[in-house]
Amino acid sequence: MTRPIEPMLRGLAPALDRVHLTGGGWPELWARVNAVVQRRTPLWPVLASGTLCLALFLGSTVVGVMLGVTPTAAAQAAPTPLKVSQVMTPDETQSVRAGVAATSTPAPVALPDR
Amino acid sequence: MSDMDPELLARACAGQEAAGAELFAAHYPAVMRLCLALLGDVADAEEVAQDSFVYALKNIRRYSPERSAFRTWLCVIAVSRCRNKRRRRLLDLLPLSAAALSQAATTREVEQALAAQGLRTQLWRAILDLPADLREAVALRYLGGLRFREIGEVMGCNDKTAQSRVRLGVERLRRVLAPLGADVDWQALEAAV
Repeated sequence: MTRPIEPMLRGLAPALDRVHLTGGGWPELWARVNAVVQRRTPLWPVLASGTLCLALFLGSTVVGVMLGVTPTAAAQAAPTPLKVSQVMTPDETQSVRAGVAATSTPAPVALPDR
Repeated sequence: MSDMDPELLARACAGQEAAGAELFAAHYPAVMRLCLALLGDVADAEEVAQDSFVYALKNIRRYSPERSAFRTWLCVIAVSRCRNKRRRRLLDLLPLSAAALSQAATTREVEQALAAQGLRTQLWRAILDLPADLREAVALRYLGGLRFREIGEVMGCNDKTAQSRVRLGVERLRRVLAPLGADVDWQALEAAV
């Protein structure tokens, strides 16, 4: 003889209810859920981290302005001109006179007198 | 479409504890049964069922009675949390042997409670062995008491697909339990549509 599955499946519901309601009663379960529902999310961590970030930003800006090392000041500073030496060292002068190339640049050739 | 008294909903939205308690008492058993069938573990099911109620009661203003019944909305929340829990279990870093022992212990806990009731232990094991989507469909239908359209809303499919998943699930259960003398009453299943 076969037994229909449908009534067995429906009969499983009350049997499972007996399994999970054996431990704590309704008041205990509801009290646990309600305690979490009523708990408010604390605001102080958000406020504290916001204040800290603002203080760090303002503090570093003020100190930077006082010392003149802000990024804006560095960008506005005039570029240092390149230092070009146009004076020959005594060695270079000697070698030019002797007609020997002391450096990689060719020695100047003296023009004939007219 | 709502299965809830509008006055009760208004009181729950206003944060009245008595209204929350009334909703909890009316719907907790169905949600807990559903979680138990989807997770197979009493402790996990209790955690997920209670977490679902905490979310539902904190966000009750988001519930729209025109869109679905309150029980369907609760089932959507619970099923989604059960899926997350199963996913986390797969990533669990517990050694396999410890996880298997823990699962076996909690399954035995349910089985012992069902043992006195004939075929129900085998039926419970067969439900836990079903693939996830068929298990969800069967649990929503027979343990959550939802209609096929509502099952479709929870599972994100149409009512025909939901019906076919329930049929497939029941057919698999029948195949497993057939040697023990269980059969499916198709007429009753069709009549329930």
